Amino acid sequence: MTAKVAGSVVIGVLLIVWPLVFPEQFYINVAILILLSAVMAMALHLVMRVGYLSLAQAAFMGMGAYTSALLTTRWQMPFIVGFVSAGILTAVVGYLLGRILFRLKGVYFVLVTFALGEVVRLCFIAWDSLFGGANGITGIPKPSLLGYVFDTRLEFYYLALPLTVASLWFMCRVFLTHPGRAYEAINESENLAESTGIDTTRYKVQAFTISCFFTGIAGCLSGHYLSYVSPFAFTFWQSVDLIIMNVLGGPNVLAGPIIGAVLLVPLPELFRSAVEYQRALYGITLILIVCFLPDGIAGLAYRFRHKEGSRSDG
Amino acid sequence: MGEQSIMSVQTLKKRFGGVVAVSDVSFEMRKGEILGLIGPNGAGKTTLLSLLTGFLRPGGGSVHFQGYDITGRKPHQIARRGLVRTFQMTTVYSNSTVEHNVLKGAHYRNDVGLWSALWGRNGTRGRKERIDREVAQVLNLFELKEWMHEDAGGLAYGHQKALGLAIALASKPSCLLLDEPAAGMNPEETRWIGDVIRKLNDRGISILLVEHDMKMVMSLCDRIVVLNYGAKIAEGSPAEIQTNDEVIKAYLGDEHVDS
Repeated sequence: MTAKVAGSVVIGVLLIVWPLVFPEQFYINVAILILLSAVMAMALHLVMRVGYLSLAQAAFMGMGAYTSALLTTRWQMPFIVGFVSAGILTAVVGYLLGRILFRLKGVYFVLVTFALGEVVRLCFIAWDSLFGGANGITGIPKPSLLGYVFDTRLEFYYLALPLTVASLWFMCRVFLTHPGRAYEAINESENLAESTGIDTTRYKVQAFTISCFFTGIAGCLSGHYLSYVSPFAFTFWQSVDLIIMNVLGGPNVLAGPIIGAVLLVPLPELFRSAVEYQRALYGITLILIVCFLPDGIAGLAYRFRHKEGSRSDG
Repeated sequence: MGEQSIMSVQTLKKRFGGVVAVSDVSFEMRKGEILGLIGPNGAGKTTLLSLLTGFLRPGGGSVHFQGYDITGRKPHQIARRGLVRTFQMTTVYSNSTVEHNVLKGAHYRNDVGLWSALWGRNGTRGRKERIDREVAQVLNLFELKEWMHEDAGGLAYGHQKALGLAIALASKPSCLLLDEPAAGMNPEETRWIGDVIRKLNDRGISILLVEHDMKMVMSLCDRIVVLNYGAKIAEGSPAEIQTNDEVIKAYLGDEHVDS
């Protein structure tokens, strides 16, 4: 337990201090993208842990981004209003959709979330007057809190970091407490859970709603970071990337999506010239992971520790 | 519907396309009894269990449990009223330990909202201790204590079936519907399961037993309901059922009935 606390403190200090030691814009940019992706991948993770796969995550990211973008540009609202509205609106939409979507199971759920994602994205493009069509919305102000403007990349990093940690803490609590045990039961056997009095629909919708909330605020942050939103940022492939992060990092532990984000997000930034081969690389990696590491990279660490643990137990 | 009745089933119907799976089945279940439900393969026994517990929607008729109309309610709502089923296929949480399997069975009884759970209010301390104690009792009853930290998926078949029962029991049912608890078990295990069922019944849990092992059914059950082609063809004590012409016809064919 104390080792865990010490480890967290060390990691925390490193996360806070490193940009001051390596203040290169390139690295800070990558770090910010990792943080935002990690939040979204964790949000998808929540849905995956009740045994469902959503391909609509990019759409929810878009909803969050557009909500805040519209509020802060067209209606001149402060950032905090846009931020909170982005989370709440996306969560409400997620709740209402979840009530309907979770009547479906397995492949049908995946297919409908795919269709839903496309419908939302096409709305962004087609509803010119509101969403600005293919041009999206530009001139989104930098985030500001109580008069302080997070202008530079470094400042934005120090805004995104605590928000990411807060998301991580929240989701940790969800998994470690009462709702998490229900998710686990539902994931392993929905019928068995339902037969012993667990309201499976309620928990599935709950997981989906929380997921949408965090996806929405991450989308909002990315809009304010890039200072524009474009409908082409919220394609099906964005959702697929989040799935890959989970599968690669480990779909069964919350550390999984974080590991996945850390490994995958820098790739296109580091190998700009090889971006066209990126999908092929992802494909090959996925096949290898599914074949040899079904619990992802986090599973590898767990297996290693488990072996050591059982040895020391005698 | 006397005060003795725990469950009352009235003209329950279910059809799948052109096939009538359950047609106008009515029976009463008495409080504290072990009621057998038998019939040849495909007679509609499992369908009937699914109708009673909300896993399938009846096409007509009604089910009342302890005075409440539970027709067409969701499975978890029915389970919370105290009517809990087990499954014919071994159904356990394979990736969880035996102990956590049983805890999941008790999950809803410690139900707290999302916010309370997040702020660390996992129910009152007393409630948690009581549930821990009950889980230990359930593990003892099913002789699963020594495997409590093993993953359920790695247990022997017989133990998995026992665990399925243990999960159901952890949800504190007043009536258990058991779907072939002895299927695939050897005679010794079957006898053991029979003893456990008797023990549960002694604790006041009413039991509806679907089972193909006639020795078990005849020795355990107070009364028996017989289904064939989705319809009830007989109801009575084991002795009555054993000599009932309709039942013999259903199981063995016409030519075996004299007279």
